[in-house]
Amino acid sequence: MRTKGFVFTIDATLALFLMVLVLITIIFLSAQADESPYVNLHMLRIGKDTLSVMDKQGILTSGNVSLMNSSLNSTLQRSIGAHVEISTYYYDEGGFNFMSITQFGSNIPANASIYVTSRDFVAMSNGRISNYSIARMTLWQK
Amino acid sequence: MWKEVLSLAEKKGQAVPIDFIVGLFIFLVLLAYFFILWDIYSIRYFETAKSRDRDIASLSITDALVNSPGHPENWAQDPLNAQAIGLCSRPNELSSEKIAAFSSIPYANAKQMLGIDEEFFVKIETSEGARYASIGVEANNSSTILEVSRVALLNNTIVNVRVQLYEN
Repeated sequence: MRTKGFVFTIDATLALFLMVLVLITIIFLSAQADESPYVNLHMLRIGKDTLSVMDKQGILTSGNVSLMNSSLNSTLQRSIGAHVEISTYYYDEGGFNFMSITQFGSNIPANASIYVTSRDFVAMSNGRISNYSIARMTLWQK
Repeated sequence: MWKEVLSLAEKKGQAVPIDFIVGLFIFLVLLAYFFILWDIYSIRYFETAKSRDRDIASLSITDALVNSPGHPENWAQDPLNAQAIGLCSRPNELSSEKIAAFSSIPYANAKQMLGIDEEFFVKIETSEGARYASIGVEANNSSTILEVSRVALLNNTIVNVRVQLYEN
């Protein structure tokens, strides 16, 4: 009498376990499917495009913060916020030495998803590299 | 004796009804839940997959237009025999000649060269709205439009390359 229904209980437990496992998998996969990785990619492309265009126009190398700010605001869509930090190094005695940091754009919000992209560029003087800079752009959706 | 045997035979193999009914009930509830979820998520999955296909297509088209010279590089001289369309001379620097050549390609051929099944419309304009080029067929209001915008230079002016994909 003690073992009455024992086999059925194992069957039922196994079936229940499998079904719960399937349900958890479906819910997990569907939750993952809701997060689009392309928003990330698109934001990074926008950042790269903006830095590239500003570099090609000579705005990044100008050192003029108000010009950089106005160019950034006119280039980016209004729904996107950005902050740019340019670290500049000067070339001397066969090596690069830190020179300055220039920052422009908006302040990075504390609780927003941010995307970071960067671009390297050089400034030439008398046909030689004088400065080497790294522009790091942080973007977010407003 | 025969009565006892018959009585045992009648009892033998009978299920315990409460255990069985409760188990069956739980199983059926879970099964129904499973099918309802399956139905909901399969619809959502196909919609998401479709939307992602269009995301990929729009990103790859804008990448090709803004960052690639196309194939062959001088395709603008013979647009109908282009293998891949790209509008720039250097990354993020658009070529007026290539934009004009892209405009001259018949719509069906352009779709084939871009490798898409959806309809497309490409606008090249400044942020103030001055339009340099419109290529493709503009969507009507009822369509679901996916638009991806990229930034590039055209004759040293900053322009937005807006690619719209939609289904009729």
